[in-house]
Amino acid sequence: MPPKPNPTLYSVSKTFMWFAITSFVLLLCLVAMVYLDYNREWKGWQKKFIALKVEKTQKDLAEASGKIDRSQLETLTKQHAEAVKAMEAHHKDAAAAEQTVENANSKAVKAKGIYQNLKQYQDSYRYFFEEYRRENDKRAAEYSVKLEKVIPELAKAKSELETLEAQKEEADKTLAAYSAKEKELQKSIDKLMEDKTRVERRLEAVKPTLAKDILNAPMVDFIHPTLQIQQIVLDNLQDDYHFAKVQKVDRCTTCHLGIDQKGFEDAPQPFRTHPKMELYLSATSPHPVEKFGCTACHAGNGHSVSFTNAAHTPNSEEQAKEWVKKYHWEELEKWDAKMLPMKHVEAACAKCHQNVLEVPKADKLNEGRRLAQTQGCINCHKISGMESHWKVGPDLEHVSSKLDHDWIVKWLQNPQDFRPSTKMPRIFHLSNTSTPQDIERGNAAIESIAAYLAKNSEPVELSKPSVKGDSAQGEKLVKDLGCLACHSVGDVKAGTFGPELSGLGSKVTQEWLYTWLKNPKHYSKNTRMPSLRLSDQEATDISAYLLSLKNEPFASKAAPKAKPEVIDELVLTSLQGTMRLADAKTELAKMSAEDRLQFLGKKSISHQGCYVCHSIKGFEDAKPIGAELTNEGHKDIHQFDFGFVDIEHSRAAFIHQKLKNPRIYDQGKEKDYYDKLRMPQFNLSEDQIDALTTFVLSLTEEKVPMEMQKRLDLKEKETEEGRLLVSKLNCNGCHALDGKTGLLRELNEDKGNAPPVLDGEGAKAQEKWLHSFLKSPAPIRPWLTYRMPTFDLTDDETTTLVHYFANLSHENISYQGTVLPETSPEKVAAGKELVEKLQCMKCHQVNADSAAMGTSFLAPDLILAKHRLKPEWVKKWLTDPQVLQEGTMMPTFFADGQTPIPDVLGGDTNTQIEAIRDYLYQYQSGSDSADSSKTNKK
Amino acid sequence: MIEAFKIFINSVSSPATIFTLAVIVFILFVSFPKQATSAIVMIPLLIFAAAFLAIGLTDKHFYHIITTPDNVPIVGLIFIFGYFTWYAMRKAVINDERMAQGKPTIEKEETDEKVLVFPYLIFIEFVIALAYSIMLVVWSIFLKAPLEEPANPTVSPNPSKAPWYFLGLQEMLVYFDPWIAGVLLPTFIIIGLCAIPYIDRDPATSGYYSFKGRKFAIIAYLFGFWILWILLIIMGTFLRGPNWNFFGPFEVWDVHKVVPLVNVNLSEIIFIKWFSVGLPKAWFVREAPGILLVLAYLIIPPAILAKTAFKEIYKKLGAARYAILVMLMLMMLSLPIKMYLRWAFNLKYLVAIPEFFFNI
Amino acid sequence: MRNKKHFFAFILSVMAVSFLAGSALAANVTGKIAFDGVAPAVEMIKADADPRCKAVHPTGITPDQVIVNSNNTLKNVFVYVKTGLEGKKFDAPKEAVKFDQHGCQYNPKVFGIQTNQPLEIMNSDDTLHNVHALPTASQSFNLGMPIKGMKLKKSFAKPEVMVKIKCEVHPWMSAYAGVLDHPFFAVSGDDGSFTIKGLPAGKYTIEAWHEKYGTQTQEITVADQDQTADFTFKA
Repeated sequence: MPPKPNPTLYSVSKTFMWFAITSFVLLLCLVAMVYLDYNREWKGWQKKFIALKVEKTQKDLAEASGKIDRSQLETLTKQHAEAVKAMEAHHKDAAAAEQTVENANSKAVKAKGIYQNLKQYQDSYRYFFEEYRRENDKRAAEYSVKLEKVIPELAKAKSELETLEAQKEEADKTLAAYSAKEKELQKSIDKLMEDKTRVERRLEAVKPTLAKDILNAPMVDFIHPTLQIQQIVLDNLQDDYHFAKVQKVDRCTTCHLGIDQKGFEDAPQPFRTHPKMELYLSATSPHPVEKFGCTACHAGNGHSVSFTNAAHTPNSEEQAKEWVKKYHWEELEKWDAKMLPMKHVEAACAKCHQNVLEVPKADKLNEGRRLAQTQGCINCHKISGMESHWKVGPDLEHVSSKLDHDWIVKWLQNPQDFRPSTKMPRIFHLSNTSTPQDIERGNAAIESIAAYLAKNSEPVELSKPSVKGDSAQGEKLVKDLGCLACHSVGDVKAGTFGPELSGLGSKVTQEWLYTWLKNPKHYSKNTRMPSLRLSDQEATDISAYLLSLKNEPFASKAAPKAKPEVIDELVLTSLQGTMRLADAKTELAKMSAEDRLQFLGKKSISHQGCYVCHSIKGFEDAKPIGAELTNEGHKDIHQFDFGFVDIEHSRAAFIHQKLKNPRIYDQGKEKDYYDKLRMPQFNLSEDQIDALTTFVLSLTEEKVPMEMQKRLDLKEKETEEGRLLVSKLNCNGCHALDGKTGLLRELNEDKGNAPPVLDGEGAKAQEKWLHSFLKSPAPIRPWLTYRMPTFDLTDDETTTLVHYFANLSHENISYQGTVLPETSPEKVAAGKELVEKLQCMKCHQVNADSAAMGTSFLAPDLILAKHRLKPEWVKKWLTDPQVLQEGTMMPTFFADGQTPIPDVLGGDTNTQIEAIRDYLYQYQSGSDSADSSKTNKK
Repeated sequence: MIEAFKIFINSVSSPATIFTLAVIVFILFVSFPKQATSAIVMIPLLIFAAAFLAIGLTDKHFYHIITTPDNVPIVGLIFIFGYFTWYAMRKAVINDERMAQGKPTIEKEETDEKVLVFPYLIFIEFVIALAYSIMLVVWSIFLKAPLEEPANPTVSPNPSKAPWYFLGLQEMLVYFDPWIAGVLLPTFIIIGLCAIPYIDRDPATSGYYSFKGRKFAIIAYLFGFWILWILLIIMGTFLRGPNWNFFGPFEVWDVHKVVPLVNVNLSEIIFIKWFSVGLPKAWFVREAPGILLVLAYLIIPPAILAKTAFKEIYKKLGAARYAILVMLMLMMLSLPIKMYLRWAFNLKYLVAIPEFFFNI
Repeated sequence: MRNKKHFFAFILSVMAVSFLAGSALAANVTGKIAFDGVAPAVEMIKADADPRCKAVHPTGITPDQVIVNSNNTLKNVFVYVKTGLEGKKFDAPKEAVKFDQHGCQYNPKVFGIQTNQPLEIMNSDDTLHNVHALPTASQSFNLGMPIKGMKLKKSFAKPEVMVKIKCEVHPWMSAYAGVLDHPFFAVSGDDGSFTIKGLPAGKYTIEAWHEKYGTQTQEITVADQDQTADFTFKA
């Protein structure tokens, strides 16, 4: 076929239409692309903040305007207008003056030119003259002549210049005089409006304008945009991205624009000022924002400038819903280091504040730490840095001298049956071991544990009281001696450091309780209960009272017995761990019933980990069974076994649920008895769980560079050791110390009868005395019913405490002894006179008459002062005792700095106090005071 | 009703079933190409595919997998490759019919007519380029590349999948030793593709679509491409989940799924299961049956085929080229054969010599 | 200008009249504190510890917690206006309330004082006394007074009913101060009666407080007549 001329393949005009359509659509797509790329989330927030700032500045402007004194402004304005009128009246003169100024100016300029020209010549001639003279050139003479000629000319030119300049100044002054008044008034007006003008200028700077909008437009916004990403680059803090450590760059302030500025406390988020600016962010706080940034404390993705990608974590379900609505928030699937929810934000403090007992101002974290110690978490779970803690449960090495078999069985069934406030958790018959078979197995384990403990208990010799006990007196003693600092008894809710003492009548025998009260360490050498140096009668009375408190429901319960076949089954299962079933059966057949029980007991104790809290014979070196928690706050989320429990997959949710019901993650799983979860059930309140979750979230192996950590100097380290010991011995049960109040002190309305405040003890007591006092306390205050116990401290522990007190009072320690200030015999004599006149001995001495009044108002014997008190402190005490020990019975004798005895030492209060002090340090037991050997050794 | 549909699809998607179904569809396609490419078959197929996609997208897990930015192109791949295969086969069938009637082929008719390059080539190319740009811009706006957190060396992603073009090989790894599946067979694929011009020098049917004229080549190619490459990619993308377990399109990807799978070597089957004697100590004795079987597979079929079905081919190609062709064919077929041996007999290796790390 | 002068004078006179009228609309509240029952048996406190006190009270000191007058009324009951004066300010008088330690006893035992009104504490005995006041709302103080005749001044910053005052040297000594921010209070005397003077018209709650027998309240409305408010405490 011949080719057609210009044949068509398809309709070109239609294709033109498609061309038009696709071009247009492509244009739209490109515009959309630029818009989507340009229109970022954070720019919206910055615009909102600008609007907020404008609003605020306008408010400030209105305020500043309001503050201006209207009447004064009016006056000044009127005066100014008058001045302007006056100026205008003289305006012809002013013009003439201006002309004069101009002329004078031009003349002066001309003269200056002449002068400078001549000067140049002079310099040049001088140079040549000197040079030629040096070289002995003939031309020297020539230049000398020239020089001589030019010098007077120069001088003339200079004087002319000066005259002309003076004329010019005059002319200027005259001109200025015309406008002087006006200018002055204008200045006054400006000063009056100063604040308003400043705010107006601020408003101008902040207001959005067209120019700013252009600068922020797409394509152009690389030049000088006003909407910019703000970032804080931190030199010393790093993000750990597994294979690299990257310098932290926090871009949070891109949206959180008001966070470090005062004045936005009421603004909506994200513009709100950070709370507690004196503690965070401000330049004078311990955590300035340039050094710490934001993610060091809050975690999250600091690099991101989008709400979702920054890994914000909602604080509650409601907040999550709100965020979904407001910000289209969704949980980031693939970002491990999410922000800490605000309720657990204190978890971040721990990685810099290490090796301290309490982090200042982090109350929730500190409560969590405290609970981790008192509930025994640290005993079972290894946490590096917290290994040096004591076992929280009582020793069981001599338990058969205290408890009988049935009681132990009933206790292990459910400790809360006996004592609802007990810290001992429940181990058996929990949510994953509550089928009938598992309950039988639990009973078998309990029975065998009781049998093992009984067999492996070393007997302890118990003493019997030789006098009869008075229960009413015992009750009084319990209240008076200070037992309530650590214990609650019956209806009295007081201390919770030690166990609640109700129901003892259904638990222990009289011999045991009496022996225990007389000397706790005789029964248990590791106990923290100190000796109260009780007399036989006191111990008998107290034990009579405590034994009268019974727990009838518990006592009348029957102890469940274990089934022998269940015991056999469990023994067989354990044996099969190391040998085949046939061999296990033969092994079992060889064991007697008692052997089986003992075998199972040993297995059960090592399985349940009882020995982590209680010392048990045979388990001295056994390892704790709990998972190591050293890195729990940063452990990968996939390593947490959520099982079939339907909760949010976050660390906080896991830990929270675990603390509420530790066995719940076995739910829905088919597990052998010995493979089930073993963590016992603690009786924690919602607040306690919250605090403990914060604590666990704070555990991390992340290493913060040394420059950024809160490092402790030597004194602070000693203080921390002291704090640890104070928390172990519960000094705060009685005494107010180190920022905490004393429990007994709070319970006493009359502070004069309460245990002394120990704040400032380092400045008060001499170290040698304090050391020996702590080693073996003796009564100081005869009127105080509370008795300082004997703690049987080692030398190291005592030294730690002495250093602790000294450091808290910023004292330098001197074990050699205190240096007494210099004095004179006259002063000492004056002191003696003052002591007599002020009648100190009315209270500060023991004699037959005062004994008749009862010891309730006797003050400490002053013979103690020389070795006990520091001289500077005695001075402060005498000046006003109420300042050092609020509520003390010692009165102020020098009220308002005035002395009631004006004739000794010239009535000078300060010298009188020194005189009294000097006398006390020389004081021997005088004629009208009893021998020191007779004083108050109760 | 939808639930029953989902359960049905899940069960039908298991590797053995889907592979067998695909082979059956393939055989039908190449046996009855005219009917297979006709509108009566294609349109219902299209409607079914669209409906399947629509219903499937209502399921949360299906939606999640299909709309992952990485997987969207694979969905597109299925439709695009399907279209082009249909187009080529349709054209081929039409051409074969025309040639049977003595008419010239479509291409011949078209090439007799000549049109100007501009506008008929350039202009439409340009408009298509604009449309393509639109597609790319819209794609890049809506399907964003996922930016996850920095890699954590202690947490391996599960499943760990190769890029899509290697998913076929990763699937092969289930059935073959890594040396074979990762080195030997890919090398043969490449060598085979390179060797095509050497083996097939027949200029017949060049320049126009035709099926009857190149039946062997086209069947071999379609089998190798669709069944052994694309199908395995589809399986690897959509049907393999954590731990490389099989998951139907509507199944949740559970990391904890445990499926019993005990595979035995041929030597164990023969010596332990059948003869009940222990495994011989010397490897050549132990693996003798397997080695013999493999050698027999490689030697006997070519010899037989040369005398029977491939007699023409043998004559045309000559001994050397025939040998190469047959070797490549046998390598290709060894994959489905091994797959079926695995599914039917839980066979692990025909020849297992751990002493040299050599397993077939 | 003349009109202005007249106008001012008019205003002044109106103010004066209303002020007088207002003050005329004030009344006294009197009453008796009756005691119903038998006075508790008391044991004499021995003052042997301090010879000076023993000299004054050779046979011992009568405990003064409950003093029943001969006409079966109760002494040392503090009566005051509890509510009804909200929003009104009353300046503290410059005159001090006198508080003495005499014969090893406090005098007065129960008294009222306004906030920031000076309390003049005197020691008329030749022995050491200390005055230990235990307010919870104001700053507490503990003053030693060893010299006979010495005087010290203190005051209370915040209202509190009642502030206990005790002596540590002589444990039987105790006194109570009712600190109020208004002057409308009284203490029942030897005849068991009390008078609150010059209470402006209005509705009030008055409360009677006794150291041992607790508190009782009554509602009264004061116009221009003197009112009576009696209380009865049971043993």
